[in-house]
Amino acid sequence: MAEPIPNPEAKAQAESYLHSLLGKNLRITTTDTRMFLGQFKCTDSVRLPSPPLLYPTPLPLPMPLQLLFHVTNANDQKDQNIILSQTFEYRLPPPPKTPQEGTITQDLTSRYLGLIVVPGEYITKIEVEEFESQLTPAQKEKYLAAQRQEGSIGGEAA
Amino acid sequence: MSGNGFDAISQDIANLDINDGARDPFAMWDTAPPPAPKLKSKGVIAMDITEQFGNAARQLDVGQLVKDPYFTLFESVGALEIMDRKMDSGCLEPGETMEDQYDFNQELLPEEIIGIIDQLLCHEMAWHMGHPLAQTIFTSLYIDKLLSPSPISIQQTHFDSRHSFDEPLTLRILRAYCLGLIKTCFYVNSRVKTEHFYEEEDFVTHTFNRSLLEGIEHNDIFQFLDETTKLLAESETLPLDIKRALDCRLQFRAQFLNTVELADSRTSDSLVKQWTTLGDFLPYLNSSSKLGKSVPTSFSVKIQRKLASTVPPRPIVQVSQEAAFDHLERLCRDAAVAVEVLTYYDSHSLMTFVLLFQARKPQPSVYVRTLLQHYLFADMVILGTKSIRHILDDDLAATVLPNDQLLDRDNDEIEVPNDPRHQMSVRMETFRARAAGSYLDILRTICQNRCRIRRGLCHTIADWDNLQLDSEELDVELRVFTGEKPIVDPEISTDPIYSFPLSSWAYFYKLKQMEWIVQMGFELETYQPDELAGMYWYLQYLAKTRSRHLERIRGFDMRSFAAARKNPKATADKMRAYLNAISFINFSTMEASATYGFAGALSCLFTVLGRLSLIKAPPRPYSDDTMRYEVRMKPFSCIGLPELIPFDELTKVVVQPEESTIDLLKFAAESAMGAKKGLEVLSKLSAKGAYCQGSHDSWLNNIKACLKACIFTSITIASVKKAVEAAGKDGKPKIKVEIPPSEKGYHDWWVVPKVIPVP
Repeated sequence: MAEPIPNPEAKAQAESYLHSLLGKNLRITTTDTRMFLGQFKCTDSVRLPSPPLLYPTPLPLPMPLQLLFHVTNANDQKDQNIILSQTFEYRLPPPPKTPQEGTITQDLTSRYLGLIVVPGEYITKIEVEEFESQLTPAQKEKYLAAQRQEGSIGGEAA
Repeated sequence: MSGNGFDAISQDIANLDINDGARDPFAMWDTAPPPAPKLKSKGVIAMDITEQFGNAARQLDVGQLVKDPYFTLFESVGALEIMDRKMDSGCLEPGETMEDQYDFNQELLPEEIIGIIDQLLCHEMAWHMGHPLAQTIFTSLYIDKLLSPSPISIQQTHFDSRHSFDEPLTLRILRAYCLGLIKTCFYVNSRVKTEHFYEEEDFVTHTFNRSLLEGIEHNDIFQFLDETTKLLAESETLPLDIKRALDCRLQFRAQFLNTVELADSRTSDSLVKQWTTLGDFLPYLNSSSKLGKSVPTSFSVKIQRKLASTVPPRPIVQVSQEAAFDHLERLCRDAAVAVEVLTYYDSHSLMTFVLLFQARKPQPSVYVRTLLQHYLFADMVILGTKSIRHILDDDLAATVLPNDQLLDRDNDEIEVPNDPRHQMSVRMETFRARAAGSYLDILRTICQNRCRIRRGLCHTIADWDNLQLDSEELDVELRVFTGEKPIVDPEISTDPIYSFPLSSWAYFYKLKQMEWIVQMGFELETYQPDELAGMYWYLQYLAKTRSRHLERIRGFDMRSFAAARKNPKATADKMRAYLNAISFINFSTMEASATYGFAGALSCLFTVLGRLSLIKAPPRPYSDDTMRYEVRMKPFSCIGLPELIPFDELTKVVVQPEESTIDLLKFAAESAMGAKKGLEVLSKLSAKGAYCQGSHDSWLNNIKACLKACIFTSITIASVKKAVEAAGKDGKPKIKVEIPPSEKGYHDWWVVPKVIPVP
């Protein structure tokens, strides 16, 4: 990605896209693997002289929150904040003290937080909740492809 | 964030209601938040839009916002910033784990159990003092284990699942104590929540979406405590002193639990005993705490991460053992006194009781104050036995309408519309419907914290001013049916004089409240030293107005008394009603005259000190005297009678430029002497004569404190006089003046300056 070229059409499109997300439930994953689920209320622009260099950290992390990114030039990216209302925080529970055989399913622990602002520098993933029935065929195809990829590789890079 | 338009902000600020004290800043909802949505549910899928979102956001201009039209910048200020250590209670340090690695299976020494129990007691008292549970009791890992997930039976409350078969006695004792503690908190929290109080300011009732053992029956917990006590008694391994200390803690908890459960009843005669029994545990509880060994690892600030809370993480509150015991001891003592309100003597004694109870130093704790409110008002039945009408009629009979046909309950039985008795009954009912709320509001207001009492009174006097006007209309209408004959006395007025009983009554209470507002102003240090002369002048003006008004009421009471005595059928009971009303009027007059004498003396004294430049006005670059006067008198500016005195006039009567300093001091000395005599007479009155039945001791202490302040004033006046005389005509007196802060003087309502000679 290069320096954004002023393009009124693209800008209008971007605005309308972001507006279409308002009020929807977003799931935002942060660098510490927590996820926040809340209603999208507000965001602002990113002030970026150059694109951020993102690379995964070597820390092995349990599924599905494997994507832990490290942001290099954090100072430049402070302005993409996302505000969510009526937010719940989800986190992976601590690993059990006694090792157990085989695969285990752990529920994420959650708690209510209310109105939060997530600074852009800590965001590793943004998801939007959609009703499966309301997806366009193209969206559905894309979603399934992503699922497949996640299943086979076990993760993806940005 | 910017570009959100100032209109929205100013609108929000305009909508902000600072008076709304009951708002809960801890929760977005007053009740529990909704359950967390499931992450996997059929039909809903999460689409990864990280890239799309980022690209779109990059297209925006710098500083441009995309926002929900109903979302305001003002709201966003309240958002918790994620990953900010100070705001985000869920933020972990690198390598830090979410939960504490605490082993609940570890056996604790009995000394450590004592230590944890005593720490929990400190936390409990810290909560009573106004700190949130999240920073006090909820920081205990054992309590956390007990409450999460919420248990529905005692069997589910083991600290470790391995304990179901084999629980060490020590942990069983701790568990029993914790169960009792949480259930106690449940009762206290429910009581406070039901009454009027100020969240954050007085108390935090928020339980962070944790249930305080609502699912477990009171009796089960009580029994469990009892059984544990028996188990402890059977144990033979513990050293005797430790055993005794643990036993005392279990019994204390059972007693505390029992007392708060019973405290809600308004009929129980044993309540006083319950509280005193509880208090009796304290000395040994306190002295045996040295046996304990603290376990700091069993408390953690991290638990806040699991609590539903929209506020940033805060540190654990540390309240010393001494402060905790002090608070608990006072709580027991005050609660035992509060119960005595349930014995009703007369309406005036009731008000005196509440007023003096609230003035106790330090002020009774929130729980006790809400108990008092409960006793007074629960279910709109006063003290559990009296109707509001009963109290109101008692009060009217004991002031303006002794043995009056207007208060005759038989009037209610008359259904013939043209019968004057029916008309009287209808109008009195209208009056009661209007006045009952205002009357109860006085009592309700004085149940709040000290600052709120003054603030509340400032609102209620406006209501009483209206009540007085409304009652005046009713008085005029009632005259037609009562056939009241006016007093015609050409020496006083050419117009006939009617008694106006209902509006007289309202005026009396309005004046009383206005006096309280000024007096509370002294207590709360609202006024600067250079304003004291003016405010004491205003107090004496109000008290004098009340005294004159009482004079008028007495005139009419005496007239109806004289008329009744001529009636051969009058019973002794009826005569007593007159005597009672007249006795109250006399008492209140005496009290008013002591107040205006004392206030007058202080006003003159402060004027003199101002003249001698011993009290200087602080620099006030942004205000002037007129503006400040306007602000000070704001509560009174809407009052029709007595009219607010314009600033220029007030300055003239306070400063008294035509009087010499010596004359002023002479007048002050005489006035203080008069007040002292009045207070001495008052201090000799019986509980009945002083209308303080049920609280005579507090009342006497109060009067004696006034008396001391008055004597001290006389001494100060004398020393100033001596210094002025010694200084000669143009020399300066060799003294300096100190104004003691509130609570340091003899009485909070009387600010007496201290004169110190300087070389």
